[in-house]
Amino acid sequence: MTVLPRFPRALLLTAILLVGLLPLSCGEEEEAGETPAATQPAGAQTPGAEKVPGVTDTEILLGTHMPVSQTPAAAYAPIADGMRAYFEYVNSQGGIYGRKIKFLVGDDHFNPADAVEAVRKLVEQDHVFALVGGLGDATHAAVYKYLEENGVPDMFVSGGLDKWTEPLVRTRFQGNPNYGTEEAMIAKYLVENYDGKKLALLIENDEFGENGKKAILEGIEGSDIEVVAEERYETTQWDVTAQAQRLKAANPDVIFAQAVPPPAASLVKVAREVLNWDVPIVVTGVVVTDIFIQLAGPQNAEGVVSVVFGKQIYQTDDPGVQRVIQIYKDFGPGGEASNFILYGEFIAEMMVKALENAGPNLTRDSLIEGAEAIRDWCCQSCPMPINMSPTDHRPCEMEYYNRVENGKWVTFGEPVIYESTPGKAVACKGLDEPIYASEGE
Amino acid sequence: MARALLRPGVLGLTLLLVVLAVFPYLYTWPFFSAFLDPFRTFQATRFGLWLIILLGLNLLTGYSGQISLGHAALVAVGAYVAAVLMSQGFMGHDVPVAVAVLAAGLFTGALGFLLGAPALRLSGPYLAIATFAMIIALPQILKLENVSFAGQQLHVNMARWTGGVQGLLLDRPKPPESLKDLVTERQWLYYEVMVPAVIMTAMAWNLTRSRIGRAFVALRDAEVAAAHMGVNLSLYKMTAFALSGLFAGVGGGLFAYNEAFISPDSFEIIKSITMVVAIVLGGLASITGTVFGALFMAFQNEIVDALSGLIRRIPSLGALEGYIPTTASDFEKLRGAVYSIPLIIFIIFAPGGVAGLIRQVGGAAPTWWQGWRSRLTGWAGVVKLARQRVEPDAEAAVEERQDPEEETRH
Repeated sequence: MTVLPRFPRALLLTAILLVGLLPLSCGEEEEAGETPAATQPAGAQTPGAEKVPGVTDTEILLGTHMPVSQTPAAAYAPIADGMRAYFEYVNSQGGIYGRKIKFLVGDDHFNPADAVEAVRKLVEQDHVFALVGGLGDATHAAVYKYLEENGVPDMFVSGGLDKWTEPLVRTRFQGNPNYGTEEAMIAKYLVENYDGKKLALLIENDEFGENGKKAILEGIEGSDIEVVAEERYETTQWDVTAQAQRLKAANPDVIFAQAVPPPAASLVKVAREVLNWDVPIVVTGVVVTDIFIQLAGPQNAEGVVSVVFGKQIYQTDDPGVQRVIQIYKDFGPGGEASNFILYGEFIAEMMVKALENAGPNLTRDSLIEGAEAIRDWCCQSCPMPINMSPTDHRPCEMEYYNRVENGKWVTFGEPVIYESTPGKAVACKGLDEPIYASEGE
Repeated sequence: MARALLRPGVLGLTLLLVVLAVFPYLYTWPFFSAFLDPFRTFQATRFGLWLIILLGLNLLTGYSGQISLGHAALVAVGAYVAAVLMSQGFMGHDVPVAVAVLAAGLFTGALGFLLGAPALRLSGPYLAIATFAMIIALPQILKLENVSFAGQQLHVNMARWTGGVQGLLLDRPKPPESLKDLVTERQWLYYEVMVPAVIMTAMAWNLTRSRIGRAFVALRDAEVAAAHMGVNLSLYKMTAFALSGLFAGVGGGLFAYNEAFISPDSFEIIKSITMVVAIVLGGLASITGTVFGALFMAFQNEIVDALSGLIRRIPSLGALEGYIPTTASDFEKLRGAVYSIPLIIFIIFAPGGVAGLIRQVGGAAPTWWQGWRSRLTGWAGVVKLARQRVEPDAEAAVEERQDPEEETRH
């Protein structure tokens, strides 16, 4: 009891501080602060038209979640730059039906708990119209049910887990090809080139790794490929020297890595430089980035095989890629355009297409219908037309094999197409220039 | 009685409890709706969760001086125990949320007690390493599936319970039918978290002022002396770990319930370290400090946003365009850096954390201020010196009285 009289003074101060901090901490949000109250009480709705969150006559508010700081995964941040640059470009052309796009990026530090916070803020405080290109499998897994239940369109998730579109949910679209289909292609490549040989695996210890491994094992079933070793690394770990050494000990003829770019680069660099080991390495589609080649060293990366679903930033003689680079130069924050920029612009371009299809009366429903109506559409970086439908929420359903040649990813062989929505166009000449079958080759 | 109610402490506490009680409804009120929205309720819920979790860490690190970098591992264990119980039931029976959370707390507490054993032989940086190992190991253990060891296939399948790499997706919590019209899902969650948070804060407050709390402080300040005074060192060290585990478990269990999702990556190393940062910023060995630590955890991202936003608005920066980062996207990427600077400045000027600052301002006069005042007003300084000569203990006695949180030493 002797303590009581003095402690409470601190408590009182705490209480005052707490109450005082409340308005203070919210002062920043003045601009956004006007809308929240309006969407909640029924009386605030404008008579006649139904109020759509994040949409006014002059603006469409979009959001995404992505690691931007405080983690090595912030290497993905340029994707947001690419998206923003493309939206800025569209705004400079007058926007979509007179509405300018405002794009908010929630920093999730690649942590599921932080992703929940970032996405809730976007939905409940900023009142975004839709989420676009939410990135990361573990992080998006923490929020996708929430978005689904609140009816927030979850457009073009930057990932390829089966669960994004299986079972199909009306409000969710996938941005990447399924990891499963990518790996099925890689398995086919392995069976064609390494049948009867020994295979070793480097797998990321999470759902992304697990999905990929499953698909590879299913794909090589029935062949004479023998899996002689499997090594794993944690999502936070980017140096796989130890794993590479153990893989070498198993003496495989070929390695497959279901990894993100930095550990995949580490594997290649260690194998070539430290272990003096020229084993063929096949990597999953997400590795097809410039940072992989930079981190591994162009010499070391030479000959690494993978799959890819779009054009590459080095195809500088391609008008579509030139356009990607020009938009980034004019509207981006500066610096060289990379494949991350290209990917970001691709997601943004697809979103803009869906918004255009949705028409001037923009609602969440019309956005989804707009996206589902995308048919025979050639985007600036699309090698093949994109088709979607109410039963197909996967835009990317074709892939090429590619490999590193002279420090660049170069496609080889015929594209593999598994389009589930049959379109009329068979290929793309350029932006909005589909080639129809009747036109011939 | 009436006078007792008017005492600043009681008033403050009442005000605080009233604000906490009505908080989820505040945003619907005329004045508050200008700056509050449902997202604030979510943040307040997160604050409650962090409060419980950090109280455990502060009991361990602040009060008993056992540094832990692995607190997030305990939180994750609690979260998983509760999540598994809630999603899969126990021996075919459905487990109510309260029971699941309590079980999570007790299980994690017991685990903490066992983990306290190595701490008997380790201290300082060595203990930090041991607890660090814990947080590194746990995510991998949670993901275990078909392990092979020395060529033998072991049938350890953690993933069967934990969902492995995918994590566990629970049913979204809903308020009971009878209260459906009164509370929204979010408001309900707020109360489900805030009520235990308040109870556990009161518990921690009482605990630190009890025999156990005093033993913890004695353990921290002078092990040998504590042993002489009859404090059972091993028992109390393990108790400190057990208590921190209990709080972590309850916090983790509520976390899983609140988010309806838990994955091995939710509580990783960075989170663990950030927790230590939070209690130091808030104030070690202080319940008030823990409250501020929890505020820090809950509002951290927003603080960072606000800071980078502020710097961007400095007009003269435009002139430096091209030399230093000035675009929105640059600042987004520099957020970590932007916020590290105030962090360093704060900890230099307020090593006692926010609680230390409050103690200084709230007390009659802080010791550093006393020192400066005596130097500034020479006269007072001379008097003080004279007094010190006469009664050497006077100064120390004054200091002690202004340090309510340290009182437990006596």
